[in-house]
Amino acid sequence: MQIAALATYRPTWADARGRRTLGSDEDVATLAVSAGRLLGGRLTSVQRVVLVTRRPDALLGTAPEVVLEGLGLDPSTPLVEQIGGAPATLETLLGSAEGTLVLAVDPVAPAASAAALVGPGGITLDGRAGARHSVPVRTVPLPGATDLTYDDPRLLREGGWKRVVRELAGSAEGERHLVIAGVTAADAAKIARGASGVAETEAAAPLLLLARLAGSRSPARLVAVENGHGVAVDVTVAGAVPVLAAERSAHPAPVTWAPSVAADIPASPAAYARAFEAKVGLKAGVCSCGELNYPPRAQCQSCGVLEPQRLQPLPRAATVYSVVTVRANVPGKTVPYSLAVVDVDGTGVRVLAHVTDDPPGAAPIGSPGELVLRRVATRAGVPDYGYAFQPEEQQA
Amino acid sequence: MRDVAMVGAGMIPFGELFDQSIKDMVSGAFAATLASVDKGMPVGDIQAAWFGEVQSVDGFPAGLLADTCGLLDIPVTRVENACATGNDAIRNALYAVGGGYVDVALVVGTDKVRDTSAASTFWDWMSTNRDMAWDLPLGLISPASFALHVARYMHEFGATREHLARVVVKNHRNGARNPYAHLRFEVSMEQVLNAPPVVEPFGLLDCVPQSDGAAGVLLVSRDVVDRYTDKPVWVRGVGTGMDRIMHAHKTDLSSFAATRKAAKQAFAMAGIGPQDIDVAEVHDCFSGVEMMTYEDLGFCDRGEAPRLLEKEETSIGGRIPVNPSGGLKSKGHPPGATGVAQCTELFEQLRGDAVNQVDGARWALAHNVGGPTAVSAITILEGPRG
Repeated sequence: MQIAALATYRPTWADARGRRTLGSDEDVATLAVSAGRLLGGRLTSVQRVVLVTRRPDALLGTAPEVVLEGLGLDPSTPLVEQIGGAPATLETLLGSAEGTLVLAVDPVAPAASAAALVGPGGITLDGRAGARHSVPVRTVPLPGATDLTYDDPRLLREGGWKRVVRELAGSAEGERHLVIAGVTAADAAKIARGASGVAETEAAAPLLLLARLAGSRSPARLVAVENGHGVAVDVTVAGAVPVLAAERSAHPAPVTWAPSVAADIPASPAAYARAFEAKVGLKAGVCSCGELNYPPRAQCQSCGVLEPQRLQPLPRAATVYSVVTVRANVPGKTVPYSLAVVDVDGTGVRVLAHVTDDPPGAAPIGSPGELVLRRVATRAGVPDYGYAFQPEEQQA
Repeated sequence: MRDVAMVGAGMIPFGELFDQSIKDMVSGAFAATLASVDKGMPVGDIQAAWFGEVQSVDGFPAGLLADTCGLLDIPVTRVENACATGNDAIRNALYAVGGGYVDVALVVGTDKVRDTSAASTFWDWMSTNRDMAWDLPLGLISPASFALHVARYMHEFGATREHLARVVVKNHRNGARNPYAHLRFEVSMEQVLNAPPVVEPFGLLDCVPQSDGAAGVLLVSRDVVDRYTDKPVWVRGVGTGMDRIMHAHKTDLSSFAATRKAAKQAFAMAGIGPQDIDVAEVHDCFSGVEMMTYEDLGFCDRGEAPRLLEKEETSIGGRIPVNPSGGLKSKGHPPGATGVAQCTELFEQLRGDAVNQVDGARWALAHNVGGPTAVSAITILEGPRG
């Protein structure tokens, strides 16, 4: 099978060990969209979506519809949620037909997400091999619970990873370079001499490695491992492959994003459902007079006519019209946070939004940036998605 | 329309009134209002009543006034119009008296903010005036809703936090002498500027306290005014202006469109202009809102509000004293009571009885702006010499 395009996204926040970690407004759904949207116009060819992660936000949640709407895809597009780590992402790629968008998300530090569009292109994967042994050193319980790790890292490395890699690296001979997904780059070097990897260790890792390999023309053997399980493929790069990457410079994350005062924010799933397409798809109501109304309104703000308005996606580039920073301790909110009213460039439309991916208060009136899909709140336990304003990065 | 006079106005001291129920507060304000009528007001003379209350924390609102004060034989209607409730309730009563349907109408406004927990006070009150799907989850708390306007104003016209602090220092100076005020102390410029930040550009002292309180006024027709007083205050103009609910839909955040519309209505009805106003009670829920409102009411030209503060023209003794009561900032802000209590202050100012008397005041204006900056109500009063 072949890959037509790749995209990678890393969140801007870094934990105390320097590993990228999610902002308070990010989760599996927003990470999937952050990577997928980088493919831009190529998304029009998508026929099917597979969302791979070891750690879904919920076993029954809202991720599929948020991902489809956030990517601007038809909500009837087939979407499969696949639970799994690095080997699962590789198996998914190998089993996917042309037109499949594979989204792989690692929401736990080191956090990242990546997207691969399956179709004719410069990267070819073949020579699949697999191995599976029971070495249950790491266990990931249900969402929200803490990982369980059996206290023997040597058992994991020797009895799990090394054994799998030994069995699957067979064709990594001669000029074929060995890359290992599912362990940190440091562990990869310990497993096999000359092997390399990336920092991320779960579902996104194989795609992050493929994005790196796309830049060189040297053939590689890619092994994805997880406990005693592994999948391997030969990677051949024959032509130019678009690789779109979004990675802002790191900002230190606070020790916790949890609100210092817990409180339930009132919710109405019925109201959210009515607003969903416009709110998650960033779509304005278009009046027959041509005026764009956002949020959509019953009555046109310009000509005053009361008639149903069709929805139309808005551009994402925006500029701060007014902005303030909330520093008081708002129950149920992570403070401080900045709220901005932004002008969507060239539309006459304004959006009220949190400022994200930037220290609160750092982006003054006039700052350029773009609107990005984020989880703007969690109300009555249900995530609530909408758009946040991401200021353009300041040049150092 | 018949001429309508205010013949009584009273209130209870605002504050954190843990020892008073909302019924205690309402009956206290009712008694004070009746007691303020020069020649007395038999309860049986009252023919209709309007009860301003934003958030009911103790059951059926209209019944709180009707049952508590023994007004079971007249119609009693609750008015809710966010922080503009008080002056809007007065407008409703004015229409009834001016229209000839009743000769004597009562308005009582109240709110009890301190009967709910801190967290529910935040979200329950915010739920009363935020779009549920779009704006509520963003945490557009009240100071942020107003600060988005003030920040834009400061950007366009070069106003500074020092200008905002001048409002606070002035209003606390007035409120410190008002026995009905919640925060009866003066503050210095340094204290205001160094207070903990709430929502930039507002620090803690730029913001109103959370107050409980109640206030009332009695409106009567010219036909019966002589029975009650020889010093009536005339209600000459009222206006209630609206704006878009969502900040995303508002066209210009450097102004409050609702206030401009309410002012236009009220001045047209009174047949006067902003230059005629001698004293005003202006909705200073947050310092910068009072500053911006000088322009929306026409007290000065666009962009000139900071100059008014620099020249102390809105201080007592200045060209147009604003908030001699201490304003919401010092006197307190129980939303349903606020506009009514502004008129209590102005009733005294126009009769020459105020604590911080503005000498020779003939025309007075009371102003509220509220909700998601989407409603304003204004009352214009003329003193007994008119």
